[in-house]
Amino acid sequence: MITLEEENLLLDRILAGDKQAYARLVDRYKNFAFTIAMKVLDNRPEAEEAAQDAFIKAFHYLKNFNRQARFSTWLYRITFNTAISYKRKHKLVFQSVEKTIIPQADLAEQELEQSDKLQFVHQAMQSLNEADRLALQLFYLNELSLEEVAGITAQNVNTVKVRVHRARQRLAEELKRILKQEVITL
Amino acid sequence: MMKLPITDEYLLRYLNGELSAQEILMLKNQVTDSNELQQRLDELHIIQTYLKQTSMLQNPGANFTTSVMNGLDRVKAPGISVKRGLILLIGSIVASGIALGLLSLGAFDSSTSLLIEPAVQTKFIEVPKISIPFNTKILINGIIFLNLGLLFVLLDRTILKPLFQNKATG
Repeated sequence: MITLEEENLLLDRILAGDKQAYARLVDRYKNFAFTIAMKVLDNRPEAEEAAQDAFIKAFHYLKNFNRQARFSTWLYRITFNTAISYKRKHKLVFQSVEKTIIPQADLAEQELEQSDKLQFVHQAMQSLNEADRLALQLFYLNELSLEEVAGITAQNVNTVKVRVHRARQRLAEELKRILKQEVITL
Repeated sequence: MMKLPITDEYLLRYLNGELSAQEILMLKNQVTDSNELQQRLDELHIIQTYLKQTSMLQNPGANFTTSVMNGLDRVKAPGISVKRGLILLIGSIVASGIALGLLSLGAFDSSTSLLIEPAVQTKFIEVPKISIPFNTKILINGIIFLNLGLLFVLLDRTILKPLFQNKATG
């Protein structure tokens, strides 16, 4: 864990030419940056490449970073934008990795029911528009504040608030519809 | 006790543990009395669980930091992609080729002409015709020269520089 003071010292050292000091910042923020890229790209190799690219860009533009915001917020915005441009460039359809998070084997009946429902939420997530889905996912990512999500996505706080609220509402409606459908099918 | 309409936000506050003991008690009573409210709470709970479950931080590959550190020296040519550079390169070669071909065929040999020819004539004054001798051959030679310069820059940015950088990092 790096304090704000240590982070500023590190930034000073990097700007003074100590390139190796940057490795500490990369280590500190790589998981979060990678997860953001994953949320956008939904593909591990692509997300890794985009996150690495974002760190390299951040290094080259470090002298332009005015330290009014936290380095992490600035870096996450670069990561988010880089991942978005990767998505636009490649436009490939990937299998969602989120499906793999939900375990299916050897589950008790109640757990299986819970797991099924989680699958339905996943299904419902796909019906959301991309901006709303990303706002919702980022909001829940390490429980970021609305201000932080707004900082990363370069949107107004109120816009993010509306997106999160709307996405959750839509998700609930969609889940209700899917569950109803399931009951009918059974 | 008067029942207040329960919003989704309120239910989410309950799920996040943000309600007071009294509010929780009131909500639980209302939930027990209403199947519809119970269902809404269940749905929001499952959504919340899903979002928290899928929002855990993920780890990139083991040599992520090393790759970033190695990539710091890789400077991309600013503003020009390899694809665009190659298109421009081919375009410049073709344009220079055409111009050189036309020159060698003597297409511009007899094209010395007058560039400006404003003939202003009124009742009282007569402005003489202004004529500037203009040699198209010199102009074409200049364009070819500039084109060759551009060609060398493009060759360096799109082929030579990336090639040597790859050799240095690879």
